[in-house]
Amino acid sequence: MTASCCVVLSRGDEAALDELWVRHAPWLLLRLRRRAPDEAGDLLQETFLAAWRNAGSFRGGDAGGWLWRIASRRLVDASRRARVRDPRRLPQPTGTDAGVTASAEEQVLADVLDADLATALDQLSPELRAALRATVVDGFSTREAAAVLGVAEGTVKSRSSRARALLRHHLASFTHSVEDA
Amino acid sequence: MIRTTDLGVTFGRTDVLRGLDLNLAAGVHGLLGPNGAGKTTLIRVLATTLRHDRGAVEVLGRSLARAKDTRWVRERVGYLPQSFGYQAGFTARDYVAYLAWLKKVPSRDIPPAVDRALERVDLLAQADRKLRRLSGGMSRRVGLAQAIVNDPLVLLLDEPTAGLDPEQRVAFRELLREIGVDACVVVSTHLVEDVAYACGDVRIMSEGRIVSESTPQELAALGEGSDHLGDSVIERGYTSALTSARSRSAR
Amino acid sequence: MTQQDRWHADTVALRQYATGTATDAVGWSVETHLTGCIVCRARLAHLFTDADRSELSRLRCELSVADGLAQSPASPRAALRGVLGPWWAWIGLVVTAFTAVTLLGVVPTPQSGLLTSWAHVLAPLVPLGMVAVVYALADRDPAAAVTPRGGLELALIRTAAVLVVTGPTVTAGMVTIGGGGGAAWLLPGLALCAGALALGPSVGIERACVGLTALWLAVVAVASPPSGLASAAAVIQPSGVTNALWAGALFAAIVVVAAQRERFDLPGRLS
Repeated sequence: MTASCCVVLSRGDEAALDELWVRHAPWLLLRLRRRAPDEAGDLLQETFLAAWRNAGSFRGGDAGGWLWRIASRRLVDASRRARVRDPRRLPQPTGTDAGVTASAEEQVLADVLDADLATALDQLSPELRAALRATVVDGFSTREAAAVLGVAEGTVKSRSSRARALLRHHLASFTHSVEDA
Repeated sequence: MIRTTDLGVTFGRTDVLRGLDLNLAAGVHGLLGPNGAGKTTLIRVLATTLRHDRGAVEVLGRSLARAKDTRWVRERVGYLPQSFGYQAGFTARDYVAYLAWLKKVPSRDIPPAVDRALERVDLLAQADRKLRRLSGGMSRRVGLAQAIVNDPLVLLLDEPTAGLDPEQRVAFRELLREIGVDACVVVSTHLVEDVAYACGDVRIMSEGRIVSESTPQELAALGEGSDHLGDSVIERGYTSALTSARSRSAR
Repeated sequence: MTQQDRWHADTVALRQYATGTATDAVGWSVETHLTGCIVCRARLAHLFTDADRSELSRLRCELSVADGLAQSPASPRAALRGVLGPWWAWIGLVVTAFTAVTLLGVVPTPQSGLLTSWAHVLAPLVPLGMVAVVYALADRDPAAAVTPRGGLELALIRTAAVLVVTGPTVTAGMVTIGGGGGAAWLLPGLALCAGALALGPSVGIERACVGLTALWLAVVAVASPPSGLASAAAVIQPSGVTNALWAGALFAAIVVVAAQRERFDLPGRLS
């Protein structure tokens, strides 16, 4: 960290921003990276500037959720801008498709996450998973999800409902196989 | 997202709009035409501020016959009129916040939404200045901020770039294109260049009707080598289209 | 939230997440948990790779608070001010109304036995005037009119605010000047206000206020000498009969407003 690249400011302002950064920059960076690898750094900075500016209007409660809402709006804006620049751009591969092979570590995950659910999720195609993530995990509206995923709104709806249906089906078949065993 | 069928508006004895058919999907749509062509009237009808006399209007799939539908539509529309009024003591931020409240943006979302809108129009530095102290271009941008604060599905802009300097106009066009990715944007303007670089299609109005519907590229092609009035190819294309439309209606 | 605080993410999952190798299933679970758990966010930071740590430093370094500009949240009072207009107008109007009532209270009307003073005659106009002023100051924006709240809701809030403020003020003034009829002005006052609302969708609330004021003054002029029409005087003189009539008028106006409530929110014919 070289001194030349930092602007010297009043202690109060920087300290407040540092506070926020230390607590939230790490997880936000990773989360943004899994959705927009190329722009995660820029988006992170924009989010923090906006968060710092609006810190006064934060009404308490879930700071993480509040920050993610700010970050996710910027993600939507960035996705739209990218679409304008290149209408044919395909959505980035989101998340990882790290294989379904059960490793020793993943067995341990059984108490983190229902292993059946994990396997069921991995059965879905990346597109279906992306649609589900956008609508369920990230809290995007259908319209925003469409912008982020680079597809039409109708596609978002049909993919999410298909993903849900498949999940239900897979989970049901797991239960059956356990009973049969 | 916007559909009109045989739309007509009459003021007194004059037909200000007649037989207007529109079918607009998401994207940026330009509206050109001379004064008195009816552009502002059309925008006002679409913005649900003016009642039409004939024909049908559907915005976001709803006709505006019932108050409930009109309120529903207004929550999802952004409108920048040619001149907007404001209260004396308001700052830019206050004004946009007030409009956000009027548009039913949820209370806890209003401050970040206002902030985002001001950032997108590049007015954060002047956000806390009183409106009356802002230059023409700046107050135009405040109006734009108000129009986009609720992330509208339909954005209607009447002469939005008046008073903006060239650099601001470029930024404005980029913003419009970004919004036009999944919203329906209609821009009524005198400035043909704005239309050329921001809009996916252009409609030319004259005497209450739409007389030409084309892409900016087609207009430019029309202007190539033509000797009509105009500083740029697009302008010549516009004048050319207008002239042939007029001669068609004269026959 | 307490449930989540007790449950923490597995270190393996966090490490996978930190190194970008988590599957979607693990990732989603971790992400959803992290938005609410301070402990695990800190644990995650510890598990960062060196490359990512320096990336974070670099990003922080480039960030200048000066770019973020001043911290200044939108004041929640903005909406209130937008709806009601500037506070000084209200103070001014209240003071003026009270003063006017008390001053007029000492000016007797030409015909004795009619009403004790001009205050009694003109008091019902106060709410009307105030509504007109509020609209004149606060309602200048075509963009604001075309909003979900900008029609009926706004009209009702403004009218209610005016009544809540002028009601006690004028009544206090009337009581101060004595001569009976402390609250007698209320019925005609309310009826006139409701009448302005009822006429609002047709001619605009401001114009309705002005029109009704003119009408009332015309009646007063007709009721005064030299013509001194008794029937006109009867309208503005509080009595059992006129009170009932004004109550009826108020009720009718409210019915009209209710019947027309859609029109407040529908596109109109702006001149």
